[in-house]
Amino acid sequence: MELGDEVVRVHHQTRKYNPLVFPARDMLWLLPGTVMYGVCYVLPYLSALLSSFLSNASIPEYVGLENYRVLLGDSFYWLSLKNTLLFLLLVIGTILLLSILMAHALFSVRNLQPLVFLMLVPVFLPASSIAALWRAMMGNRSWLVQWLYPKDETWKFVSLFLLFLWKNAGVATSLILVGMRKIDASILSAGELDGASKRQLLTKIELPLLKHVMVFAIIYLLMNGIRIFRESYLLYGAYPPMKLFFVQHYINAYFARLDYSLLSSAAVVFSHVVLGIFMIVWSILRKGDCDEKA
Amino acid sequence: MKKHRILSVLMMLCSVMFLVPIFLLLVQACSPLDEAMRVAQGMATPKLWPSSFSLHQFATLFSSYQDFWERFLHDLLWSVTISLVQVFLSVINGYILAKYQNKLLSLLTVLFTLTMMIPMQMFLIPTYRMAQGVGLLNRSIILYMPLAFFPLGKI
Repeated sequence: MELGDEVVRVHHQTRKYNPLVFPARDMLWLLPGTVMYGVCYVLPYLSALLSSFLSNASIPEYVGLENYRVLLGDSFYWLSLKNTLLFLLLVIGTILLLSILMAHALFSVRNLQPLVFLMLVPVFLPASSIAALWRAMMGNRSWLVQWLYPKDETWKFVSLFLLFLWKNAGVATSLILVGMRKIDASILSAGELDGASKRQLLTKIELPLLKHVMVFAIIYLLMNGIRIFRESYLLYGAYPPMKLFFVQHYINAYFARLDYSLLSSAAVVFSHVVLGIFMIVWSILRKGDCDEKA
Repeated sequence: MKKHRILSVLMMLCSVMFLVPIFLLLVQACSPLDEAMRVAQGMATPKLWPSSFSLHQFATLFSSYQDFWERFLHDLLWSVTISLVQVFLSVINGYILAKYQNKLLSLLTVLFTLTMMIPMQMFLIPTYRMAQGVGLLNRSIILYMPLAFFPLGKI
């Protein structure tokens, strides 16, 4: 037994540690963060939820599902929902795939690992300077456009896609690299001794062990993905090309019109769709966990 | 070993790709104003090296925008404070959440996770109303306080 394990065992014996019993004393530690979280996020959420059932007047009245009826009858809302989900799916899939590849390459050559810090640099740049840069690099007069002659709308989609990729691939790569470092090398070599092929090693050992990191990476990417609106707004203004008309543009339009009830219901529907998708992904990724613990 | 060398070169190229835009940004900062303006408006292609190297724009920044440092300090102060609060709360809450298994705690974890998936516009007007209620309107704390309690670090 390692020394660390011994310390933990003694600690647990003396404190009578049982993960299933939650002493009230420890509740105090949880209190400040949770209370402030409630004030800053849960209360506003409930208030927005409430106002999605009210009419948008100076003295609001209860109108039931009227806002939702208007919203779901609006073809622009469906367009924006479709665009957003498509963009998120495409960009998150690409980044996950790319970051697994890059983390693999960085991991296999030890001296290369500091390179991941270079990839993290874009995260620290302010959005407005990135947008200006992107306009210069991918704008109409840039050599990329002169050289490729792309179609306008597709090109705008591609350049936003590249912006997101450039900004977030580094974080995903570093997360997965950290996850790979945590994998016990002896498990991999045992697998190799048992005659597992490289592909089997990757799909049967490494990826399942990387699951937790991947969930975290997906959370991070989704979180930033629904915020790509900021960059899109800086690049293309409030009314972007059709393919880039996201839910946040829709919400923004109603924000400008001060129609707060419809805005709330749009945000509620969108956030619940994203939550639903995330829950599905999460439960798929967590399905194997119970077997591992048993 | 040959494979490793190829991989190394490939990954180095890859990470250089990440730095190219930042390099271009630096070049813009060191080139004359009219040239940089034309690039920023998308009228010209960014050059890989300034036509005439000048630090004039930095000089302008420090001489004619006197509140630059003030604003910079303001930002720095707030980001350090937010980070400290965030790290402290994340450590104590994350420890509790990881140590015990409990229906309440797993509900809390799920809640924290789900909060990050909600578009921020939704919080704007309720936060404004709350700020109005407690008399914190037009104070910077109301802008920064929610950030300090964002639950990303806790899970």
